[in-house]
Amino acid sequence: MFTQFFGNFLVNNGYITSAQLLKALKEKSSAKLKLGTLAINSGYMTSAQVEKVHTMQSQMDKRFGDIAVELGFITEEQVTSLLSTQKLDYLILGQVLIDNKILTNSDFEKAINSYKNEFSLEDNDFIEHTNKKEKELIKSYFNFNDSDSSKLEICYIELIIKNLIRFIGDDFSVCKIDTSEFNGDMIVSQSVVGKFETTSIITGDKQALIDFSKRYSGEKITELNEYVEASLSDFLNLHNGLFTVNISQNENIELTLTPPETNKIDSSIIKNSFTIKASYSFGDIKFAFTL
Amino acid sequence: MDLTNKKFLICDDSLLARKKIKDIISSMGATEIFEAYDGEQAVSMYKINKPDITFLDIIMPKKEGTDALEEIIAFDPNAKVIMASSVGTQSYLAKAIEVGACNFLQKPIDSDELIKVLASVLGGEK
Repeated sequence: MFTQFFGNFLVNNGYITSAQLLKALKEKSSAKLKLGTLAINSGYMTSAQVEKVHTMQSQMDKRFGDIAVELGFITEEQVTSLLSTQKLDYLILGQVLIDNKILTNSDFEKAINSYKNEFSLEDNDFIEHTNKKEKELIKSYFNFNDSDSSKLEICYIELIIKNLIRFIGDDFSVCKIDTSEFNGDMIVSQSVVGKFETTSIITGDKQALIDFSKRYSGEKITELNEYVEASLSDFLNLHNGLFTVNISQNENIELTLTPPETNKIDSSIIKNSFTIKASYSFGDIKFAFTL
Repeated sequence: MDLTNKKFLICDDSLLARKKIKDIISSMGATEIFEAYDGEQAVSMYKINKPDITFLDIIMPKKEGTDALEEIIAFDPNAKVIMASSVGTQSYLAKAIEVGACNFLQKPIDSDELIKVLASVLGGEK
């Protein structure tokens, strides 16, 4: 989940543009993580040291880790631990940006340290994906307070991100948008009713919705048709189902789903909603919800 | 399991869910497959076609699955109805079984699970 926010952090702080982020997200899946990037992230080496090793690599046929150890920049134990580190998604994004010369190693070092400082993240948080840290990240990123409704909103956003990662793919970044930006070529909504009511809405431009639906359903979809409608409905239904189960278990509240509807949402509901978008390489998918 | 001579009714407002079930049972020989996309249509299609097996979603427009089930069972006490339950609708299953559903499937539908449930229903077990 931290990758989804790291991408926007880079854009919002002027390291890269939105277009560069989208391109990098597209390439991310096939990228290979390099030892130098890992070493910077772990604080074992500085960007200057990594550059020196890279320069020497062009002059001799030796592995990065071996040169770095010989120069005294890093120990053999540290190299071993870096190599065994789980592939960290947000680092792969950084690696793609470095490989494409959009970011330098120095920029990456600065960005990753700022990101960790701003959201009080530690390396273990990235590996263990602790729920608590993810909620705190969302709370901080979207400026939520400690009210009960904010807690529900945080749970909702956290679950949307997880479901997008799980069912659509992790090659996206997420950010809040103004309600005036919430429009698209097909709008699907679903309400949850009970002790409290919430309406969830999903939309996007035609091609983004088609590609979203292709990924979700695995079907060959080429038009904005009933398969797109079904995919959006099913995704919302699945997401809201999980949300109601989570809330019912944690808060002992009974909630019921209503059938999803297409293109039947009142604009006044959108004006009072919290609206976010997930920017995938194929386009933006927008979500609105009232809580 | 050969489904060639069996009639099926699939009731779900999701085209994808209907297609998934249809693809699985078609691959097992089923050719007479009817579809309904809301609770009212589920009841009327059952009464017209009298299927051997009915798959019935719980949350549907116009009439909930459990209400449609009551009407189907009232019309045909021997109806074999398999409820399809999403995450968030499991609480409806107890009522559905009480009303007369013979089994249930968890969505998203898993083909192995569907085959197992069909086998138990067609074998007469509940």
